[in-house]
Amino acid sequence: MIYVNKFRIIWIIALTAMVFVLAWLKIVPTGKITYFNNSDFISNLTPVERMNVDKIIGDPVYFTLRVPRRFESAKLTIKFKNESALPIIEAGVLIDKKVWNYDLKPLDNSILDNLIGKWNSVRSGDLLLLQREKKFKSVEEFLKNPPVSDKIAAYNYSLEQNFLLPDYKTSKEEMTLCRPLQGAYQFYTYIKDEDLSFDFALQDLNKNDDEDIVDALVYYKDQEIYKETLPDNNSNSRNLKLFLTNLPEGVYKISLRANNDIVTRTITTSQSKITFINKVALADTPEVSCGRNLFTNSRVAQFQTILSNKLGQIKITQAIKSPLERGVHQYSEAGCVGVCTQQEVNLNETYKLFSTGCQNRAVPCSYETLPSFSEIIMPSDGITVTGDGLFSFSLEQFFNPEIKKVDENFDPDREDVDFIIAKYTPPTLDGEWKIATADFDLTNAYKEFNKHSFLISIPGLRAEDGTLDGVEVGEVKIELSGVSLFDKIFKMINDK
Amino acid sequence: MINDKLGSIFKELFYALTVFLVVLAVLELLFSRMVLAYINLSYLLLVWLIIGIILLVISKKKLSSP
Repeated sequence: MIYVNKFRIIWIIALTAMVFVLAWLKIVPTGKITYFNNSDFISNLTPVERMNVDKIIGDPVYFTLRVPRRFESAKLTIKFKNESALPIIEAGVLIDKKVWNYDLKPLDNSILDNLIGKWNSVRSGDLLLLQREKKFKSVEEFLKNPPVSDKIAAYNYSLEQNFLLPDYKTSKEEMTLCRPLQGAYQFYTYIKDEDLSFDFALQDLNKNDDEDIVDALVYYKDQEIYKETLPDNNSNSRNLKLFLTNLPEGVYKISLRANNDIVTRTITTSQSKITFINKVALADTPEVSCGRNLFTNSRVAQFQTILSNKLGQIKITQAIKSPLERGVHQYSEAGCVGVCTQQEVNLNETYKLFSTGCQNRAVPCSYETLPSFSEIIMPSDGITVTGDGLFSFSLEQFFNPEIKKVDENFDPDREDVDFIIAKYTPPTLDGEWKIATADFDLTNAYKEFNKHSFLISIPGLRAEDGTLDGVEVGEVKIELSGVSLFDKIFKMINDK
Repeated sequence: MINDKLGSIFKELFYALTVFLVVLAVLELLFSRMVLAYINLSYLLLVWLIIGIILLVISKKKLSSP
C-alpha cells in the first residue's frame, strides 16, 4: 500500500511537471525561444519538385514557422553547402499575401564575396562599401558625398538620391494606357510642376468568391505618402482615382495592390512617364487590339502563361533608342545601336516559366543577357512578363530612376560600376558548410493559423534543367524574440 | 500472490496513464499543438491500451481461479 501511495505521488508530480513545462513552452515567458528544422515548428521545404532530399534544386522553396504566441523578431540561421557556386541566396518572410511580397534578406552573395577580395572594401556596422579604386575612406564619407549614380550599384540597401530628369517637359494632354493588366503591379512616374493624376478603370472578373479590395499606394523617396482603398461593391466595373497636388519634382512610385480577379482595363493619366517595375501581367483580353509590345532594360526576362491558346514565339530585339545614360535616351537613325541582337523564346507549355538567355537550350548560344534596352514583341495577351528591370509600353514613357542592383546577372565591368554599397555580411565557414544569418521583423509579417511563411530564393536555379545543381541545406534554426511575460505584466500595471 | 502484485502494479499504471491521457488531451483541445508539438499521444495511447488488456487478462484469471 505504501508503494502504491509513493507511486501515485511520483506520477502526480511527473504530470504536474509535464503540464508546467508544456505551459512554459506555450507561453514562452522569457520572450525568447529557438526552433530547429527537425521540430514540429518548422515545416519541410516545399514544393517537393524543387527538392532532392535536403538539396534545393529549384527556385524558390518555402517553409512555414508555427509560433506558439506573438513574437517581434526572428533570427534565421541556415547551414548550407553552395557547391554549384550559385551567385545569390536570399531568405524572406511573407509581409503581404495579396501581392506575395516577401521581406528578402541576403544569406550568400558570391558576387560580393569575390569582389571583397579584389576591390577595396570598407565596412561600417552591417554596411559594406566596395570601391574599384579607393576614393572614400569610410562608408559615411561615401554616403555624405556619393559619386555619379551611374557608377554605383546597391545590394539590400536603398540609397537616398534625388533623381531628376533634366529634359523633362510636362505633358499638356491626358494619355490612356489601353493594354489591360491583371492583378497587382507597381510603376514609377515623374512629376514636375503638375498634379499627380491617375484614373484606373478596373474590372472585377468575380472568378473567386473572395472580397476584391483594391489599394493604390503612392510612395515618394521610399515613404508612403498617400493611400486610396476601393472596397468591393459587387459590381463588375469600378474606377479608382488618384489626384495629388503641390508635389515636389521627382520620382513617385505607385503600387496597385489587387488579386488576380481584378483587371485594370485602362489607366488614364496626365503624366507622360510610366515604367512598370519588374512585372507586367497582360490580361487575357483578345477583344483589345492596342499595343502589347514592351520595352525593357531587363538583363533577363521570363514569360509565363496559364492559357493554352496564348502559346507562341516571343521575339526580343535591341530597341532603337538606348538609355545609355540614366534618364537620357539616345537615338540612332540607323536602327539598333551597336550590334543588333535578337532572341526568341518559345512559349510552348502552360504554367512553365520560360527565360531569355542560354538556359535550357539544346543548341549552343552566345548570349546570356539581353541588350541594355530591348523591345519585346508579344505574340498575344494573357502572358505574364517578369524581369530584373523596368518595362514600358512605349519608348517615350520609359525612364529609369533606379540605382543598379547587384543581382544574379550583375557584372561590374560590363555595367561600368565602380562603387557597390551593400547591407551584407558574408556567411561564416564551418568546414565545407557555410553558416548565414538573417534578421526579420515579424511585427508586420503576415500570419495565418499562427504560421509565418518563409521563402528561400536562389535566382536562376531551375529544377526543370535536370542537372541537380543546387544548395544543400544542413540545418535551419530560428531564434524568436518578443515581449517577456514579466514585461507585459509590468506594462499592464503601469498602464493602469 | 504474484498475480495480485502484478495486478495492482498494472492497475496503478493504467490509472496513471488514463489521467495523463485525459489531462494532455484536454490541454491539446484547449490550446492547439501545445502537446502534440512535443509528445506523440499515439504511443502513450498504445501503451495505455496494452496495459489495459494485460489488466483485463490478469483480472479474468483472478476471477476464474478457485
